[in-house]
Amino acid sequence: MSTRAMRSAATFAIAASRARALWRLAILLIAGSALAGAAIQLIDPATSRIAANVLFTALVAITLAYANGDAARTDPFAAVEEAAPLFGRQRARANAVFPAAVVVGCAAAQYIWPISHASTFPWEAFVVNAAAALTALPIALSVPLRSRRNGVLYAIFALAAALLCASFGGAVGNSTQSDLAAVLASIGVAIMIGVLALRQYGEALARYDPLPRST
Amino acid sequence: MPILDMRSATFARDQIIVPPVNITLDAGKQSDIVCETDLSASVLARLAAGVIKCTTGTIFIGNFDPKIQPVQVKRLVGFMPRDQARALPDPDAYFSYRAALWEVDKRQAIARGKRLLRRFDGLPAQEALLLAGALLHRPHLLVLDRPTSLARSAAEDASGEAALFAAYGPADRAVQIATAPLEMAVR
Repeated sequence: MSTRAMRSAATFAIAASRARALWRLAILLIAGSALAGAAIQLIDPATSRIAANVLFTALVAITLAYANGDAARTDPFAAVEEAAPLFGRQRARANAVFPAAVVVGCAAAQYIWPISHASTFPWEAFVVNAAAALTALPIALSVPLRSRRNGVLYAIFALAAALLCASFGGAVGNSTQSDLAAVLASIGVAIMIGVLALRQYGEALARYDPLPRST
Repeated sequence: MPILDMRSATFARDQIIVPPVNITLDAGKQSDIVCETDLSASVLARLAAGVIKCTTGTIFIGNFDPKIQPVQVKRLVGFMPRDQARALPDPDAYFSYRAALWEVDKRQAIARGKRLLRRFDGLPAQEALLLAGALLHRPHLLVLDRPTSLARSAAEDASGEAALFAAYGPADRAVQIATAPLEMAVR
C-alpha cells in the first residue's frame, strides 16, 4: 500500500470512529434541522429567514464540534489517537470529516419542508447555508481544547464567522443581482476562513497536552 | 544510544505534576518507576511515550525530541494507557483501527493482534486488548501507564527486544511489592 493510501486509511479510520460514536446524535440533529427548517419557513421577510437558517446550522455545527471533542476523549478507539504517529493537521482533517458531512446534511434537511410544498429545491439558499456552517465548524472544533471562557469566545467567533459568510454572499448577490455570484462569494469566504481555521485547529491539536481522563 | 533519555524533565499545569525526573533507559532494558500520585505516574508515562511534552528539561526518545519530531517518536513507542475504556471494542475492528493509524498492513496487524491475544490468555480482556494494540507495530520502547502486575509480566514476555518503561502510582506500588519486586529507577 502506498504512503498516501495509508494516510487516507488513518483519516478514514478516525472519521469512522467518530461516526460510530456520534451517529445517534447526528440523526437527532438532522431530524431536528428538518423540524426547525419547517418552523423557520414561517419567518418573514426572506432575509430574516436566511439568517435564521444560518444561525441554526451554525449552532448545530458548534454542538457537533463539542460532541466530537468529547467523543475523542471517551471513545475506546479514539483513546489511542494521541499516541498515534500523525501530524496535528492530519488529525484535524480527520476530525472534521464526519461533523462536516453531518452539518451539510443538517443544512439540506432544513429545506425538506420547502421542497415538499414548492417542489423545487432552493439550492442557492442551501449552498449559502452549508458554506456558512462549514465556516463555523473548523473554528468551533477548537472549543473542546480551550478553557471554558475561551471556549465560549470561540463559539461566538464561529457564529460570527457563519453570519459573515452568509451576509457577504447576500451582499454580493444583491449588488450583482445574481444568485450564482452570492453562492460563489459564500463558498469563497468559507474556503478562506475554513482553511485557516482548520490549520489553526491542527496546530492546537499538535500543541495540546491531554491529561489522563481519570483526573 | 539510550532509547529513552529524560534530563530534569518536569510537567506542570497550574501546579507541578511531575517534579524533575532523570531517566536513562537503554535499548532492550527495563525500568519501573513509582510516583507520588497516580496523576504524576500517568503523566510521566505520557511524557515517556511522547504523548505530552515536558514543561522544562529535555526528553529524547530514540534520539528524537518529541517537541520537534513527534511523529518519528510515536513510531518508536508503544503506549498502553491505564484501562479506562467504557466499552470493550471488537478486537478485529480495534486492530484494524490501530493498523490504519500506525500505517501497518491491516491483515498482518489483525493476525499479529490475534496471536498476541492468545498469548495474553490470563489477562483481563480489556488489558489484553490494549497491550496487544500497543505491541502491534513492533515498537522499540513499550510504555505502560500504571499496569497491573499481570500486565507488566505479560508485557515483559511479549516485548522481545523492545525496552520497557512502566510508571506506577502509590497504590499500585503496594500491589506490585506484594506480587513482584520492582526495579526502582533513580529520580
